[in-house]
Amino acid sequence: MFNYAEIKDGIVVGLQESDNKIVSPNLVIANNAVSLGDNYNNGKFTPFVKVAEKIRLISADAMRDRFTFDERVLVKQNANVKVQTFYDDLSFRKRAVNLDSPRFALAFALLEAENIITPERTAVLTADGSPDEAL
Amino acid sequence: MKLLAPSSAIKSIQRGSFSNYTGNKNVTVSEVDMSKSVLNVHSKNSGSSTTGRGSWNAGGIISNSTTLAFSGTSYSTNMISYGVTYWELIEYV
Repeated sequence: MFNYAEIKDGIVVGLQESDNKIVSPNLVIANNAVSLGDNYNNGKFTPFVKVAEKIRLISADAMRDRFTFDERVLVKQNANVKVQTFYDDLSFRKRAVNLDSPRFALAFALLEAENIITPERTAVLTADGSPDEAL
Repeated sequence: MKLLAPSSAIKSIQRGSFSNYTGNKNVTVSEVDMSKSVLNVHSKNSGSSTTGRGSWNAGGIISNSTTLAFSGTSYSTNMISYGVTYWELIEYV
């Protein structure tokens, strides 16, 4: 049995096995321990180490929970209709919150302008999600 | 009466998998008789809801005696690197 790997940019992107030899410039000899995503450099394969994926979509509930009690009180007390509208939208929101959304960036800028949160808090509020915050 | 040992109707089997591509892709295989060969293709999406929603579909044909031609679609660009296509080329006697 012949085992081959297709390499692209130093990464194994394809695997093949055949009883007969395959002649292709795209393939290198591999063994059956090689997996898709493994690294390939100077004729050697090294296992793919999966890096934890950043969670940038969190539930609306999780987003609301990120606000402290005092921040929620400040929102309620704020006279700016835009602030109230933002929080109402968040309260009734069913869909996920995209932490990279430009609309949310504008909303956080508004909350900063209204002195409800600080830039440091914005960084915390838009930080990567945890697994329990994901949908 | 002479008993014959059972013989397989399969001459050869080649298998493979690939990921990380968009559009069309050719795979070179060991030569087969196209008229006696069958290509089975299965694709899966291994993405997650936290990295984006999408799905991955791919199909393939035996383009010539040494080439398989695949085409794939991904409903989300986030899914491209997560879609995996598995194929199996069976050549019968």
